[in-house]
Amino acid sequence: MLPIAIILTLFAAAALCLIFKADPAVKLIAVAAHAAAFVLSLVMMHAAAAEPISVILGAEPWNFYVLVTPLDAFMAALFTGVGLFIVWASAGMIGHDIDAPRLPAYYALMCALVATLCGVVVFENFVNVFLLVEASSFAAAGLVIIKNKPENLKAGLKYLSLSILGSSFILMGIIILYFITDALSITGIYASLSHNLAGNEDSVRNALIFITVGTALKSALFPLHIWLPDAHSTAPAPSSAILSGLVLKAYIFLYIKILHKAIGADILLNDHVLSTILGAVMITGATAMIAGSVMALLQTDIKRLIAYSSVSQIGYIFMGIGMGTQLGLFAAMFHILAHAVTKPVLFLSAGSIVEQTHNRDIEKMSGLWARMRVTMALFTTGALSMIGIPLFMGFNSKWVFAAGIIDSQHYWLLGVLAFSALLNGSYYLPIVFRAIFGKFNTEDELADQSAPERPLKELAPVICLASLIIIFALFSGPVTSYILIGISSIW
Amino acid sequence: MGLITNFYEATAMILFGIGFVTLLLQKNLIKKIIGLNIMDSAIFLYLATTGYITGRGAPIIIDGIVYQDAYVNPLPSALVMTGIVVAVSITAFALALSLKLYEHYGTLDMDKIALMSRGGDV
Repeated sequence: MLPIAIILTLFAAAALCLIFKADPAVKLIAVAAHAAAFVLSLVMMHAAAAEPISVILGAEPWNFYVLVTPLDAFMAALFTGVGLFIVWASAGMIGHDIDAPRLPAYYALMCALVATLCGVVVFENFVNVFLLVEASSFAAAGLVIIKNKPENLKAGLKYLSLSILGSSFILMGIIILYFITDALSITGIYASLSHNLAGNEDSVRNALIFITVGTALKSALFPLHIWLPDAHSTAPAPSSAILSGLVLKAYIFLYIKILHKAIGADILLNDHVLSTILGAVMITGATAMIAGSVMALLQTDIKRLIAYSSVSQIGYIFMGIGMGTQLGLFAAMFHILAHAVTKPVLFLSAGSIVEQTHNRDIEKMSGLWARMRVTMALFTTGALSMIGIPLFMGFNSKWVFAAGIIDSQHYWLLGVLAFSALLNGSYYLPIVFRAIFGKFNTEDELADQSAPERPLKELAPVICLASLIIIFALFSGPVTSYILIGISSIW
Repeated sequence: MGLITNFYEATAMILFGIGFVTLLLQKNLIKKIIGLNIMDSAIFLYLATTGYITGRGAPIIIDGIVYQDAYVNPLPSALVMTGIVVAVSITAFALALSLKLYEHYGTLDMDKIALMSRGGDV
C-alpha cells in the first residue's frame, strides 16, 4: 500500500492547504507532506528492489492497478525529493511573486502536482494513468497562471491547450493498443502483444506514432516545444523549477514505460518500422540538443535562456531513449536525474537574482558576484553541471551518453554531443564571467538599490540541491546500480 | 469500400482534422476552444463506435438476461464518459482564462494579444 499512501498523503495535504488558509500553516503542511512522501518513497525504493509492489482492485481491464518496479520507485523518490526542496524554497521565495490570498491555492497545486506525477509513474492501468496525466496538466497550468499577470494567462492558455492536445494523442495511441490487445494495463498489453502481434503490426506502429507525438508535445521535444519558453519563463521561480525539473520528466518516463514495458524491447527492435520510429526520436533529440542551445544563445532574458536550455536537455534524454540500447536508456534515466536536480537550482537562483535586482536582462548583470556571492555560486554550480564540467553531475551524464553512443555505434552523435556541450558553455559562461569580472555599472539605475543577498535561511533548500549535484557526481555508485537494476527488470 | 464500411471511423478522422486545424489556425480564442472540443468529440466518436456491435443493446441488465452476446462492449463507453468529464473541465478552465485575457486586453484575437504583450512591460 506504500504507493497509495504516498499519493494520498500529498492529496490530503492539498486538501488541507485549502482548508487551513493561514500563511505559516499551509507552508508547514506542504513541506511536511512532501517530507513524509519522500521518506515513504525511499522505503518504497528499498521494497521494490526486492520485489515489485502491486495493488489491484477490480478485474482487468477496468480496474485500479498499481505496480511499482524499481524504476517507478526511483522516479517517485525523485519527484517527492526534488519536490520537497522546491516547496521548501517556495516558502521563502513565492511571497514576492503572488498575492497572499493565492498562497493556499499555490501550495495545494504544488502538492497535487507532485501527487499526480507520482501517480503517473506508479499506476499500471492506462485509464488511471490518463486521468492523472490530465490532472497533472491542470495543476501545472494552474502553477503558471497563479501569478495572475496577463502574460501568465496567455502562456498558461497556450500550455493548457497544447498539453491537452498531447494527452489526446496519447489517449488515441492507448485506444489503438486496447483494440489490438483487449487490455488496458501495461502488463496486460505486453502479455497480449507477445502472441497477438501477427497481423496487427500496422496498428501497433500507428499507436506508437500517436504516443510519440503526444509525449513529444507534452515534454517539449523540439519542434513541439513552442509552449515551453513562455510557460517556464513567466511562471514564478519555484513553479518554473518544478515544471522544468519534474513535470516534463513524468511524461518522458511514461513514454519509456510504453516502449519497454507495454510494447517490449523484443518487438520494438525487431520490427523495422518501430525501430525506424525510435531512430527518428533519436535524430529529433539530437536536433533538439543543438537547436535548443542555439535558441538559448539568442536570449537576453535570463529565465527564457534557462527555459530554452531545458529544450536542449530534453533533446539529450530523447536521444538516449532513441538509441534503443540498454546503455542509451540508462544514460537517459541518469540524465533525467541530473536535469531534475540541476534545473531547479538554476531556476531558483536566477529567480533570486531577478527578484533582488529587479532585472531580467543578462547584459545588465555585471558585477553581481560582489553583492550576491551565495546566489551566484549556486547559479555557477548549476551552470557548470549543465555544461558538463567534471565534479558536477552533468559530466557524469554526458560521460554515459558518450559511452551509450559508442555502444550503439552512431559515432556522428559524439560530434553533436561535444558541439552541444560547447554551445551550453557559450551561453552559461558569459553570465558567470560577467557576474565575477564585469564591473558593476554605476550609471545604471540599479546602482541605487543595494540589491542585498537573500537571507541564507531562504537559500538553504537551493544550497541542499546544489550540494546534491556534487554528491551525486562523486558518489554516483548506488544511484547507478539502482537504475541498472530497474532497467534490467523491464528490459 | 473501406470508407463505406468504416464511415464512423472516417468521420471521426475528418472531424479530428477539422478540430486540429481550427485549434492551430484560428486566431480567436473562443474558436480555438471550439476546435479543441471538436477534436475531443472526434476521439469520443471513434472510441464509442468501436465498442458498438450492430443489433445488440445497451449493457443494462433487464429481464434477467445476463449472457454477454446481448450487449455491446461497455468498456469504450466508460472510457468516453471519463474523457467527457475531462473535456468539460478543460473547456471550463480555458474559457475562464480567455475571460481573464479579455478583461486585460479587450480582445480575443491571439495575434493582437501577442502584439500588445510584446509592447508592454518586462
